[in-house]
Amino acid sequence: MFQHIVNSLPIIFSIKTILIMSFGVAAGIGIGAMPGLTATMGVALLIPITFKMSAASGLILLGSIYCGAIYGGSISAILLKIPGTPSSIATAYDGYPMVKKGEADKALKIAIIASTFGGLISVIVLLFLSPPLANFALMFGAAEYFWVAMLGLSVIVSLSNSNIIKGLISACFGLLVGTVGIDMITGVPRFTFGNPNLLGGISVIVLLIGLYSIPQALEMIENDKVNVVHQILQRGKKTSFLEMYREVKKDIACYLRSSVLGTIIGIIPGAGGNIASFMGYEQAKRFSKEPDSFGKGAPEGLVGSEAANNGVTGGSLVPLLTLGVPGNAVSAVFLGGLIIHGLQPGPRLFAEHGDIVYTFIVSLFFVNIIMLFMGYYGAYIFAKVTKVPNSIVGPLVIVLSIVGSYAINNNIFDSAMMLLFGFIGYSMKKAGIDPGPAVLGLILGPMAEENWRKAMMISGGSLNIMFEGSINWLLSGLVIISLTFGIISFFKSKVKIDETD
Amino acid sequence: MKITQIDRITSVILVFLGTFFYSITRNYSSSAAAFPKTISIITIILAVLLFLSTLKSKFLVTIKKEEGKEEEKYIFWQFAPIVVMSVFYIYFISLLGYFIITPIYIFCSMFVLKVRDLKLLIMVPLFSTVLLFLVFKSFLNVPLP
Repeated sequence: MFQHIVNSLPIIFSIKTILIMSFGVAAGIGIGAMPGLTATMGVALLIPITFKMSAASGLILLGSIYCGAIYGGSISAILLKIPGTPSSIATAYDGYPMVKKGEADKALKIAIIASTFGGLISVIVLLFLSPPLANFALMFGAAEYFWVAMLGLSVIVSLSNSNIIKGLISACFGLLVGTVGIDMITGVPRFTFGNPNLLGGISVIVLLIGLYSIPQALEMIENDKVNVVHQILQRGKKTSFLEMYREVKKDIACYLRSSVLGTIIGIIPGAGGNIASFMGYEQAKRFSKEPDSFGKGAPEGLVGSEAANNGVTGGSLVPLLTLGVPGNAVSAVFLGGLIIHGLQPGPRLFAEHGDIVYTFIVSLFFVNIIMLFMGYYGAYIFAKVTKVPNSIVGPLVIVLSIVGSYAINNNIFDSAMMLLFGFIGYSMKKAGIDPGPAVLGLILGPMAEENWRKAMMISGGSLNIMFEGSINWLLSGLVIISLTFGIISFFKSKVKIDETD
Repeated sequence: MKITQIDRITSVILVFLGTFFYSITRNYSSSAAAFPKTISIITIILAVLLFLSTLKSKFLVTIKKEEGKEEEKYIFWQFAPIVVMSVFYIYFISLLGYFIITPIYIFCSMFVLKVRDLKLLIMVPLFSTVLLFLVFKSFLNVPLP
C-alpha cells in the first residue's frame, strides 16, 4: 500500500493533475453553489469529458467535482438561504442568520474549513479501511455477492424514501431496466424489442444523466421564477486568519465528531449527504454548551452540517471500491466511470489496479486542500454564479445532457434514451418517487441476478448454498433487519397528510 | 393535483407496465425469464399496495411544504415547448449537425423562457456552442454529434 502511495505522488504533483484538480474543484463549487444543480447531476453531466482521459485522471476529475459540489452547496445556503444541494439544507439554519448578523465572511470561512475537515477525515478512512475490507471481500463467492447486492438494495430502499412502497417501486424500475439486453448466461436478448442498440443493455450513465439532469433542468424552467436574479448580501465584517484559528480551536471536537459521523454515514449505502448533514447538525446541538443559540447563527451548527456532508464524500466510495456496491447516486456515477475505463469495481480492483486506485484516493486528499484555498479566498466569486437565471442554465443543462450522453458510444440513440429517462425521472419526481433506488437497482440488479444464477448452477439448484457459512447468515440477517426497519418505520410514521392541490 | 390522485394514476400505470413486461417474459427460456418475471410480479404487487395506501389515510406520507418557501407558479406553456423542442433537437442534430441546431435550440428555449435581451439571446447560444465544441472536441477529443 505504502509503495503505491509513494508512487502516486509524482503523478498527483504533475502540472496536468494539479490543473485537473483545480478545474474539477472550481467546476464542482460552481455547480454546487447554483441552486437546483446537485452534486450527482454535476458529476453525471461532466463524466463524458473524462472518456478520453487516462483512468486515474478521469477519476481525479470526478472526485474533484464531487468534493467541490458538496461544499459549493453551502455558499448559496449561507448567502441566499437557498441550499445549493440537498446536503446543505441544515447549513442554512445557522449560516443565513450569521449573514444577517453581518458575519457572512466568518460563516463562509467556517463552512470551507468544516468541509475540508470532513473531506480529509473521510479520505483517511477510505485509504486505511478499504484495503482490509477488499481483502476480506476476496473470500466472497456468488452467494455472498448475491446477499451483498440484496443488502445494498434493501438499505437503499429503507433509507432513501419516506414511503417504502415508492422506494421499492423505484428499485423495481431500476431492476427491470437492468434486465434489458443480452442475458449473460443464456445469450437470450431481453426487452430489446428488436432494436440492436439495446442488445448491450442500458448504460448506467445514460440513466443517471437522464434521471438527475433532465428533471432538474425541467423543474428550473417550469415556473414563473425563471428569470429571477438572486441578490447576494454583503460580506460584512472581515474575519482574520487568527480569529478563524481561535474559532476552529474552540469547536475542534465538533469538527472531528461531525467529520467521523459523516464518514460513517457515507459508508452506509443509501444514506447520503443530506442525512449526514441533518445528523451532524443534531449531534452538534446535542453536545453544544449553548444549544439555544442553534438556529440563530451558531457557528457549531454550521460546522456540524458541513463537516458531516463532506465526510460522506470519501465514505461513500468505500463500498464502491471494495465491494462494487455504490454508496449513493454520486458513487454510482463513479462506478460508470470505472467501467468505461475498463476497471471493474470490487475487491480485485486493489490487487489488479492498485496504482490507479491509490492515486485516486491520495489525490482526494489534495483535492480537499485545493478546495480549502479556493473556498477560503474565493467563496464570494463562486457566489456570483447564483446570479445566472434559470432561463439560461436550464437549456444549457439540457444541451450538455444530450451532447454528453451521445459521447458514451458515439450514438444519438443514447441521447434519445437519456431524454426518455429524463421525462420518466421528471414524472417520478412529481409522483414523489426518489430516483436513487432506480439507479442503484440498475447496478445491483444484474449483480444479484448473475450471482444468484451462478450459485444455483454451482449447487445444482439447491437453496442451501445461499445459507452456507457465517458470512451468508450475517448478510442475509442484515437484509432482513434492514427491510424490517424500513417497513416498521413506514407503518409507524406519524406524519400528517399535507394534501396540496 | 392531489398526491393521492397522482399515486392512484401511478399505480394504474405500473400495473399495466408490470403486466406488459410479464407477458413479454413468457417468450424467454425459464432461466432467462425468472428474474424479470419476479420483478414484474413484485411491481404489480407494489402498485396494488400503493393504490390501497391511498385509501387508508394512516399510510399516507407526503412531503410537507417547506416553511417560508415562496410559492412558484407552474407555467405549462413555458414548460411544454421546451420538452417538444428537446425531442426535435435530438432528431435534427443528426440531420443538420451540432453547429447549426445547438444555437437555434438554445436561442428558441431562451426566447420561450421570456429572455428578451437581444445581446443575451445572441451571445449565450453562440458562446456556449463554441465553448462546448472547444472543451469536448478540441481539448478532450470527446466526440460530438
